[in-house]
Amino acid sequence: MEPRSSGLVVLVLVCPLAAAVLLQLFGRLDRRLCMPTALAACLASLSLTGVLAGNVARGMPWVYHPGNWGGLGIELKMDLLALLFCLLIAGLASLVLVYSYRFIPHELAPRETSYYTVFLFLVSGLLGLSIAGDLLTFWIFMEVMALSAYVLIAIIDVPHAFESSLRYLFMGALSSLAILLGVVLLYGAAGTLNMAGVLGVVRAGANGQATLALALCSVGFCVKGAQVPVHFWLPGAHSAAVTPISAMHSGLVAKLGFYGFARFIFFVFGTTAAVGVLKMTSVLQWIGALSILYGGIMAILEDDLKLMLAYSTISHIGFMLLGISLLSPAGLTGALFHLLDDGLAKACLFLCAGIFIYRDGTRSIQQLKGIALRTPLTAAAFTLAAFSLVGIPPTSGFVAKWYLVLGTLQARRPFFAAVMIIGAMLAAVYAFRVVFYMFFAPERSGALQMDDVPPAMLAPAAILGAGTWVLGIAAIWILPHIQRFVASLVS
Amino acid sequence: MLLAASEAVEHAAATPVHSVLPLLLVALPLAGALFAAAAGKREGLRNLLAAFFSLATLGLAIVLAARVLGGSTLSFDFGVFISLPGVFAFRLEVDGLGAVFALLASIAWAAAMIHLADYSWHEERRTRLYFWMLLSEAMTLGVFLAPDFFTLYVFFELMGLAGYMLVVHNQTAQARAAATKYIYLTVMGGLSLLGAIFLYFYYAGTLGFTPVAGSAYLEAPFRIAAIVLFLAGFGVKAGMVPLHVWLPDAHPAAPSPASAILSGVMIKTGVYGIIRVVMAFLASAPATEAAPAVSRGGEAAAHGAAAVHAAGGISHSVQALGFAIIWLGILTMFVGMALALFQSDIKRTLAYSSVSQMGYILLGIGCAGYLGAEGAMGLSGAIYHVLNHGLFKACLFLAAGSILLRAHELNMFKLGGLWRRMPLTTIFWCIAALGIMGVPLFNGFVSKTLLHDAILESGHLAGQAGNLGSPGWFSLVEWIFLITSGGTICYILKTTWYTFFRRPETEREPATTERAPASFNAAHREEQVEHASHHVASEAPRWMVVAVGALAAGVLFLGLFPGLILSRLVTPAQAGFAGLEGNVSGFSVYTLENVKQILLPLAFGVGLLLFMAGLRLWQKRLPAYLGADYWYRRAGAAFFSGLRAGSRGMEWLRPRLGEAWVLAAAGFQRAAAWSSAAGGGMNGAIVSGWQAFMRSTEAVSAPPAQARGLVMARGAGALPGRVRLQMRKLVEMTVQGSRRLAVAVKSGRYADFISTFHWDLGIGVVGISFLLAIMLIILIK
Amino acid sequence: METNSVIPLIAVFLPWLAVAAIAFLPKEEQRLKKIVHVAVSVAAFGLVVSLLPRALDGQAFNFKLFSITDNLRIALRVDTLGYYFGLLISFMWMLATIYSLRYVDHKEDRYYGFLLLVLSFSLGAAFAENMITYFIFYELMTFGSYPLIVHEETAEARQAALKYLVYAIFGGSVLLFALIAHFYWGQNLSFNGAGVLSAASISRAALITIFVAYLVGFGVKASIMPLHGWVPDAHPAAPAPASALLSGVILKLGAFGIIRVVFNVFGVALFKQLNLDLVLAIVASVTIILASIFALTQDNLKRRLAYSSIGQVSYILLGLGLLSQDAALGGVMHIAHHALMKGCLFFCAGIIIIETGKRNISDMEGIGFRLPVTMLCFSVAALAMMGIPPSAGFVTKWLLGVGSLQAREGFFIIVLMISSLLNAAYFLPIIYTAFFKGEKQPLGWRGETSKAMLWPTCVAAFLVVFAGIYITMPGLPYSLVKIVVRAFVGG
Repeated sequence: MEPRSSGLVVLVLVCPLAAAVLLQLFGRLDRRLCMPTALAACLASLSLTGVLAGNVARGMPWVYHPGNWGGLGIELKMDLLALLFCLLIAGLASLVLVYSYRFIPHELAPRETSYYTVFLFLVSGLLGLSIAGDLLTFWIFMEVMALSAYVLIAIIDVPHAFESSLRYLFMGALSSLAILLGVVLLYGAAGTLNMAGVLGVVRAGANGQATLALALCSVGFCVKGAQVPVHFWLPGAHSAAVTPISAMHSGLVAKLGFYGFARFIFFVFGTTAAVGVLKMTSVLQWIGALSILYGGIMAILEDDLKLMLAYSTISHIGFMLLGISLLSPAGLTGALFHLLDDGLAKACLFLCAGIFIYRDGTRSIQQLKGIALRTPLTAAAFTLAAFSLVGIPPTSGFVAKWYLVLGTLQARRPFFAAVMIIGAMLAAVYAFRVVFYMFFAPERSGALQMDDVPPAMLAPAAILGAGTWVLGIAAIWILPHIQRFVASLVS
Repeated sequence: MLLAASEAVEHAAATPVHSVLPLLLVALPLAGALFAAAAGKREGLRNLLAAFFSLATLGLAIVLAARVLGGSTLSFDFGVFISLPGVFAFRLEVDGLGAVFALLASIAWAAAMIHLADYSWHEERRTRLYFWMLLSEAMTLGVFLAPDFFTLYVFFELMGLAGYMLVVHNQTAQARAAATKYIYLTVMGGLSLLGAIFLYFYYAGTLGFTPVAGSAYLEAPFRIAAIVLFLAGFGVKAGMVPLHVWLPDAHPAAPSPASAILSGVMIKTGVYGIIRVVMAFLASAPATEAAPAVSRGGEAAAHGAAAVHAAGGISHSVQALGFAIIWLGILTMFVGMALALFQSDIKRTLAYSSVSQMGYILLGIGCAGYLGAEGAMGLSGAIYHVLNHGLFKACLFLAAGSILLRAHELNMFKLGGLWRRMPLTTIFWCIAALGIMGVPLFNGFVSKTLLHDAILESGHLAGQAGNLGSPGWFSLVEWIFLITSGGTICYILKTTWYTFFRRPETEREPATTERAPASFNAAHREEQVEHASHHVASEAPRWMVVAVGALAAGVLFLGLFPGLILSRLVTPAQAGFAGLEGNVSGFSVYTLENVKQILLPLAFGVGLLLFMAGLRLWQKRLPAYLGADYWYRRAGAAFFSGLRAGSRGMEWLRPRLGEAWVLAAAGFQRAAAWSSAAGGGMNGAIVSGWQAFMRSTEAVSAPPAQARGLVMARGAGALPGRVRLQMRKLVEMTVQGSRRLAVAVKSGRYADFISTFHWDLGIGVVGISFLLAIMLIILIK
Repeated sequence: METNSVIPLIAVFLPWLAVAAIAFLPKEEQRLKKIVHVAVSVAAFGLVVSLLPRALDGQAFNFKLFSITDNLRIALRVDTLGYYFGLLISFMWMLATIYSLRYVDHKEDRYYGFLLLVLSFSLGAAFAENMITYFIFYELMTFGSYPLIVHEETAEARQAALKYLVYAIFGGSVLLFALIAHFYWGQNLSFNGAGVLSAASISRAALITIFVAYLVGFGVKASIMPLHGWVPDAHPAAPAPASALLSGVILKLGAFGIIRVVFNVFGVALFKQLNLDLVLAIVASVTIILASIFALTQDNLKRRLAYSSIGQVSYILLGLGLLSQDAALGGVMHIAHHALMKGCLFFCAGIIIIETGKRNISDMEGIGFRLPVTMLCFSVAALAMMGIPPSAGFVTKWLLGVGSLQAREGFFIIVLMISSLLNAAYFLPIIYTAFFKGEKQPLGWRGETSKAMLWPTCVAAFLVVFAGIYITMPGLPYSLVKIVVRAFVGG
């Protein structure tokens, strides 16, 4: 169906941007105004996306062509995939903001205004990245996102954070450079920046430039997705960041950078080219498999809860890379769904970790022994999300794993099914180890008491934890859309 | 239903008559057990009830036997209540053989229960003893009333378990050890039996005692397995060598009335099963191909042609089975006898004697199988001997119980001269002893004569072409038979002499005591020593004497009226067997020829007795490794030490596996650490590169380093001064613009603002302000 | 015959009432809560029983919840096999819940909550219409039973529960793979029919892969050697009623899964054609023998019983491996028969622990005098385990023996015999020690233990004998299993 044009598409990402500017104003008036403003912006984006959702679900994407750059193919496009991620981004960001309300004063009291401002930039970067319909817009918003991410990591007042941020910055800059080069090459080859346009040209006849572009982009996105062997920036960055930011990073940033890759493979290069001509995918499959195992094993060996979760992120992005590079419909469906579900689960886990830090000041898993007696609700939320992480039915993680493994079989690579299964087992070991410590460890004494953390922190974690289960059941309604979408891509 | 099918084929002659008698026969002792248990502490009532129920059972058994031996088959069907459609239906049915065995069982139990009325004061936990005695009676009767191997197996197993309770009853260390051995062998036997029944069911097409005509029972490749398992299963119970090891321990360990029924009846269930198995084989052998008819010695030549004809596969199988059983029987009788010779404990002697006597019975069954269709002689001998042994062994054990009660001693070398004190018991003992010795006019003579003749018949048959073995083998069998009979006479005489007639040797220091006396409680020990040394024994209590006497009367009766028994009891018992031709009802026992047969064993036995007594060899012990028990123990110990070694090995291995895992994990960790160090190295290079770059810019512009407490600030602080100035200006402009915007919003002029707002412009503005904001943050910090 | 019925659904979700009771009733109302728990378990049993007349006619009850795609739906369908198992589950749970009233004396809320949740999940698994529904309930059951095992919270309990979890996760992961492979190649996960896979459209290698994966996946629960490691640790650690359910039902859910795979997924013909029956029979035989030998060396009563369970569950698999009419009958019936016997034994072990604190067999001298009824029940069940007639254990042993000859695999009779012998070797010493060792004591008929514990034990012991006598009584295993076997194996 013909896409329809609407300015509302832009408004989705203008809301947080505008709010970022307003924040500088309000933040100076009263620091306590920051969070409501930011939250209002995110909710506005969320509701705007919701307004747009009806048509998209019926198969009619929204587009908007800003300015007079039509010749270059500049375009914003709210298709189904973008819609899903906009909902996820805006929703998750809102929850993290609520969480930040009590957490941030606790951690970085004087720099709240800056924190919220950059946070909103980050959100708008994420949103823009999702709805970009051309390569340049995509790249720009990716950079917006990346730059805000660097800053948000460095914003906390510890030397380690700066070092991590720097490491991240360099790796991010290198990867952005690589992707930019790829974009430039593609522009050179196709004469347009519009994804659909490029796709048409590449399909017509892939040439050396496109090959090189794909190689460069693959490298770039692997760095963004922290895949072995260019993963090393991630654990430090995610664990050093202030916890809500860790949640954003792990839940959205790392994955959305990676989501771009899916966009590129399917919208820019097309699967035919990727499989038939470029032969890149088997390398990517191996990288994904390696990341799954490496991340899982390192997570098991880790005692720092946030580091453990960071390694788990590497492992789970490995699942997505593997799922995408299999180039089978089920694999892609699984990977895209995994983006959603792992976003929720990881965010929840990081938020819970933040509650433990806030309450007990500890990040060590060993120290969590028996904590469920003192913070039962947090521990319960953690457990809910851990189930999804492992892929226990009927959580959303199960649905994702289902399609991912199905994808390996569709692609006639059952070996990778084994890798995924082992990855899930590793996930079970590291996730349930924590659950085990929390609920049944020996050092428990005293009577059960309810959590004494602020509800503003507890609620987002609980909502996300429950969300992983709700999403698992709601998958019935979401999956057909994704599958239809994927089918249109792969065929 | 398979069962129905088998019946239709095989029992055409005797259609079962529905009757409640078989059920009652099982239910009565069962009810008795429950009543006795309920009566509990009211001991008189309990004893009375037990005696009443066992006597009522006896009466019922007589009625039942009368009807069945009159030619009808009685059956009781439970209907669907206890059945598994297509597999089994639980029924009770009595034919001749079952009726005879049931009759014997009721007699023995009635006697034992009467004996128990007085004997039980010697025991503790009396109610328990009563309960299990009666329960085991019900189960044993069930075995004999079973119409098929399945039902038989059910009762057989339950009886085995009930037997455990009898053996273990005293709960002394000795009794417990005996009971443990008993139960393991019982279970093993039960399992082999179950395996055999599976095979039988599958290949014979039925669970009934008569295979479906034309079934593959004998051709099947599993027939050897089936035979071996059947023989092992029933042989354990029957005390067949080499599976007899439990028996000499278990029977003495039980209270004497229990020993009487254990030895008198319960081991006969094994024999009963073996008879059924052999007859099942025989029934499936076509009559025309059965072994040639050889009724008595000397007529064999006339049937030579038939013998050649009989060399076919099927009859050969029956014959092979018979031949095997003959040798098992011979082995059993000889080993039992040899071991009985060297015992000093009366009950142990009797127990080994039971082993030996079971050998006689097996021999008879073996001959029946060997002779095939003409095996009535062997079978009759076996059945007759079953009856005989049931009576005299029960009698002897009960008498031993009387001795124990009065003399508190069972070591025959410590006893002596009891005939003065216990005259009636002595007389009854002697009657039973003469029975077991096979003296004419006593019952053992009859059955031994039958068995001897069966051996001779078999020897003749072996002389013909196409049959297994040779006459030489059978003359060996005959010699062993005679020697065993002699040995039997010897140990019985020895026991009788030392126990009853020898002068007591109280003044002498007892020689090496071989075994601790059986079944004494610690409390009795003092008393027992005193009693044993002073021989204050008196005649046994009334009911004990009655019980022993009744059985002794039975011994006499069976010895005096063999013709009656053979025609009314033994021959009808075989009536139902397909494939068995001829009978022995006209057999005359007391001929001169037959009586002469006893002389040789008698001479041998007495001579051996005198020889051994003269040399004082009686109290020597045989080395342990001569007994099968020793080797079983060794094998068991080896098995368990193997298990222990295995588990030690696992214990050794487990921590090492754990260590290997830990090592592997450590190795991985090291590798991981190395890889992240490599990453860190790269990072370090990046950081130091950045710092070098900063230093170089510092070297160019060299502004004063501003310490802001942040590492990061060093980066910002290192920017050239002019740039920083420009940035601040930009920031100020932005802030001013924002203020203006705010003022506009406040003053309500935002409508214009909105109306003129162009999205493109908006993006541009926002984009710029975004880039500025980034700088702003860096600077503000 | 198919009917739609909501009763299975109600039965599955009724136990949640207990959770609601725990959540909404005040803390002091322990008594009321207990009444609710027992009432719920009784009601669940009653609901299942109410379907009995129609189930005996071979009817199946449908309830479709929702479908994801045409081939992938969440639905309940109670066919005769499922009904049989559901009846057993609800019955055993009723006994165990009543038994628990006196046995469990700390953290009752947690205990009952999870106890009845696991009932819900187990019933759901028994009533599942297809493999994915089964899998979902199965996994939930797996994790729901973790708190039951860890309940005592001693060091061993935690260790055992951890081990359980690790094994369960391994099994669950492999199972997931099996499920996905099944879905991918077979396209149809339904249990409705005798064999949805066909050799015509699926390669032999794929079929064998699916089966082996299922065998390994379910084998962890069904404790096939060498996947049995968790069983001997988990049983002694768990409270006695939980052990009874563990042995009686939870292990069987693994075996039940394999039954479903053989009957409904592969179908008997295909299963035999692939020679998988022999594989299963051999695996089961090895387990039977080894487990019995291991049981011999245990001194801890519950540990010995646990090893016994390992062997006994393989009887079920042996029946499936032989797959003649009687063997299948015996194997499937053994699910219920073993549950009754082992349930009774574990109930007795629990009473011994509660009343005397003794766990080791060597300490149990003369315990038969102190606890006469208990030890009588124990003896009955133990003799039944050995296969002494008339008892439930004998019936199944008999059917298996006959079945092995029908299948022309007479060798397996030897396995049965050796196993029975070893059963005797490890059960008889217990009875012997209890009744015949040690000093004589007066019998403690009265007040040996509380009625709530004694009655379930006696009921189980009674049924062990009764099911071996009136075998064909409607409602006892035979009446239902014969319908199943007639449908799938024939005859």
